[in-house]
Amino acid sequence: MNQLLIYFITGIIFILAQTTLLPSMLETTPNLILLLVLYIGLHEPPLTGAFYAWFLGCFLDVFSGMTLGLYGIIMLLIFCTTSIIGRQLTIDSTMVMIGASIIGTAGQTILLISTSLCFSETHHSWPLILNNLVPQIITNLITVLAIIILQHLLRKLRQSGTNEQGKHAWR
Amino acid sequence: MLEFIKKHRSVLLFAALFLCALLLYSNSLRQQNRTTLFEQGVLQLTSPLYRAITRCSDELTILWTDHINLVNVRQRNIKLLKELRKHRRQLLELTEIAQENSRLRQLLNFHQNTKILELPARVIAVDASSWFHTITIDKGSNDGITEGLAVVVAEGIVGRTIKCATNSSRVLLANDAASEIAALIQHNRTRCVARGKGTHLTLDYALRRKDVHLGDMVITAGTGGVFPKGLPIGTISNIIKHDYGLFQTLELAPSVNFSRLEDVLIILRERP
Repeated sequence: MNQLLIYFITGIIFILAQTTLLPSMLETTPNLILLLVLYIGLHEPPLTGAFYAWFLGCFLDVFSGMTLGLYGIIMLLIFCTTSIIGRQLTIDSTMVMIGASIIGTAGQTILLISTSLCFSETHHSWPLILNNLVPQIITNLITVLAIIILQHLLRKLRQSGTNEQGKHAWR
Repeated sequence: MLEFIKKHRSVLLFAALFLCALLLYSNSLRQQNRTTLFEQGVLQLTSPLYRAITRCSDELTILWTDHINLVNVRQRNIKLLKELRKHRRQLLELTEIAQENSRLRQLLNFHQNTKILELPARVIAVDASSWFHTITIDKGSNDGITEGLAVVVAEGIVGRTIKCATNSSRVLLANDAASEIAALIQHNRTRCVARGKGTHLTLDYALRRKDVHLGDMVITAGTGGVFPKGLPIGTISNIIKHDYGLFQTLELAPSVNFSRLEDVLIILRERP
């Protein structure tokens, strides 16, 4: 339950950034919720993770498009794929998250096109979605790289902090 | 049976979750213009956060523009831009009224002009994804907003409301792929449908034999039940005539810059 709350709050922060701050700075905004679902797919157990992914997808639906549940299904399917493939790979590797962001963005586009062709009345919108694929992959990739670099810097800072504390304790 | 359920608990639970997701999606597809409780709750919950962010960004913008930039030049520019927008709209209205008058003079049962009730609103957020085109405004059902109301600015139409919470609403922009508007080419009154295509719009079902020129103004036809008649949609930017077929495809440059929307007007109702 605590974890759901953490993901919910993170989701809110990501949505706020995605809909207010980032669009004023960038032409294509990174899909932070997708990146969060990919992270959940690599780090959470399948059943609870699936629920978190669906919930976050529905949350994204409130702020995007017209149909509630579209991103819910898409995020659920992305989670399943990431979770199944992620188990076969070394989870701690940063390369996995980089690869996941590229494949996840492409997968999301394919799923969006498929659902719009199969179920939606706006099936003529697929060229629009496809046109956005490359900038979206690049933006998501840059965001993942920025997060990884930030994470490394924070880890280094923390390590240097503990080393300093250790030296003081020795003296 | 119980053993089977215990053995395949995870798979069954996952299947149930997937079924729930599918049911929710199929139900939403049938009721796209309704705001569900979940949507209302989330919009309601995030509304104060959006307001706080908008206030902070406003303060920062004011600080930047009024104190760091040149004060007088900025103010004068804002005033002149406002006047220009006002006059441009007046000019468009007058052209439309002149044409309408010449046609209406021929009619005997001319009904009285209608006044439009408008409500100003602030854009507080844009769509979370790059392929859909929606905005969130700071007015909701508490201000009398319902689903399916026209949203405009001085330059022309913006879109229509699709989801309403108590203090915020979402607007589907005219350039979204799901948007379809009954339109008229102003000079020859050709009827057509304006569809969103992301950066621009297209005009479908415009008869091939109709004389259309680049730069022709396209306005709302007033037949869809959402937009009042005569509001500018955009100007024709490209004409595609295929070798055969009844219709021609026209590309439309929207009169509104959808990426720079800040304040909009919601047309509540046309009152007699």
